[in-house]
Amino acid sequence: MKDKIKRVYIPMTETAFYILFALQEERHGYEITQRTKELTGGQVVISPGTMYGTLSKMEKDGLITFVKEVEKRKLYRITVLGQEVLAIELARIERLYRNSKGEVS
Amino acid sequence: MKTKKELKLFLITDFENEENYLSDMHRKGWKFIGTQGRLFYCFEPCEPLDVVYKIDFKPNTEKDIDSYRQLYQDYGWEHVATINNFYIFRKADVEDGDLDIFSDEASKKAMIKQIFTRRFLRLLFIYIVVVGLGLFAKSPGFILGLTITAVPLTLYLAYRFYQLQKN
Repeated sequence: MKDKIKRVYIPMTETAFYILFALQEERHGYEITQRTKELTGGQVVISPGTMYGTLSKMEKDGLITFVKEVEKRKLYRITVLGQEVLAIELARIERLYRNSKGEVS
Repeated sequence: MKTKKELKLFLITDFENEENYLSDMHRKGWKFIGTQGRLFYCFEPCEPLDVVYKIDFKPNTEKDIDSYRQLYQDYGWEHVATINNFYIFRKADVEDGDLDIFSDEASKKAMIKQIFTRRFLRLLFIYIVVVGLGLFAKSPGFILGLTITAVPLTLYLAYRFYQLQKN
């Protein structure tokens, strides 16, 4: 994997994490925000400017791909590279969690 | 219906002042309908309401404009006008509503960086080219006139960008 992508995305912002996580299924911008609200009980909100900017950047970096446009809404899905980055981030968060509980790994 | 026009100059770093100005006008019962010649802000009478105005900078105007506007609309933002790639949106100020268009600092700073590179650096480049042409044509009066106006403005804008980036 490209080291540069790794450097930019890990550790990940909450916004980036929830966008990548939600895009394991095909979704458009507002659906990602809705899914994020459901998952976090409304604690993480992604606003449209942030959504648009992050989706554009992730598409450019090859983490997600544009699938199709339905009623003027662009649908995206995670790519293989995106899945790799997400897996690294998930492992990092799990390690943080284990360490916080006093486990040593 | 009588409308109102106000002459206003907002520099590329003044988008927050512009947002506040439009919200204030709406609160006083003047609803923003668009600009004429970029400097005249036009309003029509309306019910005085608390309405939030937000401005986004989108450099590639034509590219995916429909889906861009649709995205904002999905979040309840109405696209009111576009001035020179600055997109003006508004949304009624209701409790528990999400009233910002940027939910983290990084994405807001990314927009400011876009304004900086796409507007400020480009203008600076044009200025340098024009001064170069002036030197070539040996017209010191022209260069002096240009410098007297451009240098203070450039310094002021650079200072404002620094402030925006710091906050």
